[in-house]
Amino acid sequence: MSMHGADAEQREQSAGVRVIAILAVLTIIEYIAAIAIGASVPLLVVLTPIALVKAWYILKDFMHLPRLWADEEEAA
Amino acid sequence: MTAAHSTVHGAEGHASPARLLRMNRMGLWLFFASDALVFALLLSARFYLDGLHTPPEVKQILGLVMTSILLLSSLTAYRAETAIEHGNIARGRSMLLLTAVMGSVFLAGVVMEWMLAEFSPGDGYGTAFFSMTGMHAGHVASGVLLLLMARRQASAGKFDGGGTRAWGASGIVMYWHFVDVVWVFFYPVLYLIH
Repeated sequence: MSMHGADAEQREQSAGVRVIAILAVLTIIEYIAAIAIGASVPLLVVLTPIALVKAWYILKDFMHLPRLWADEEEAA
Repeated sequence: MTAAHSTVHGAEGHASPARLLRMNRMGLWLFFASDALVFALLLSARFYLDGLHTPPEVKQILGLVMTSILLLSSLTAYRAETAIEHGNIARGRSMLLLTAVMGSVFLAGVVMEWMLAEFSPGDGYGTAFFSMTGMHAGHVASGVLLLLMARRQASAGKFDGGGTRAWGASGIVMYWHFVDVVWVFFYPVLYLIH
């Protein structure tokens, strides 16, 4: 593997750590919200957007959703 | 041969590796969309069967630990994919194995949850809980097998050189992330809402 390839791999792996840190923080917020909020509907209102944000991060950064509409050569 | 057949055959015969990769990706995303509908139906069934009620006997700590393991396995799966795409097969293999191990630990957690459950599969919440976690665990189990297959293919040199040749590993890792996305919605619905 070239030095350039190793650098690119390192950059992408750092991006993965950033995403997992965001997901961990959001999961902790979910857990605390479930303890702190007693009523069902307000809790649902809080948990739904958190789940959507978590899913978006995974779809975008881990599953590379934007590659679907990128140029062919770029996406490869 | 009709004109339509000729066009389709021509498109396959002369497609560049980049175009083939794009078609593979599109096919996989269509599969995700169809599979997501099944999970969405299970999710809506949970609310239909038992509203927003969650029994207090649900093992919150176990659910949180299982969620953390699955999220962490997404990082190792991502690391495996990036390593293989950049031609670092040795790291890719070890990360695939680590991901499969974490997936197996998650499955062990599901089994433990089922054994310790203090609610019946016959009541509303129990029906939703066992069907949702069962369907999800089936996907995790198939994901673990696929990860091990990818590792074996990596050992056989199928992904050497990375780039478009790494699609096999990349597709399996994407499937693993899809299973993770499903759990992102199942976890609050089964454990946290009350």
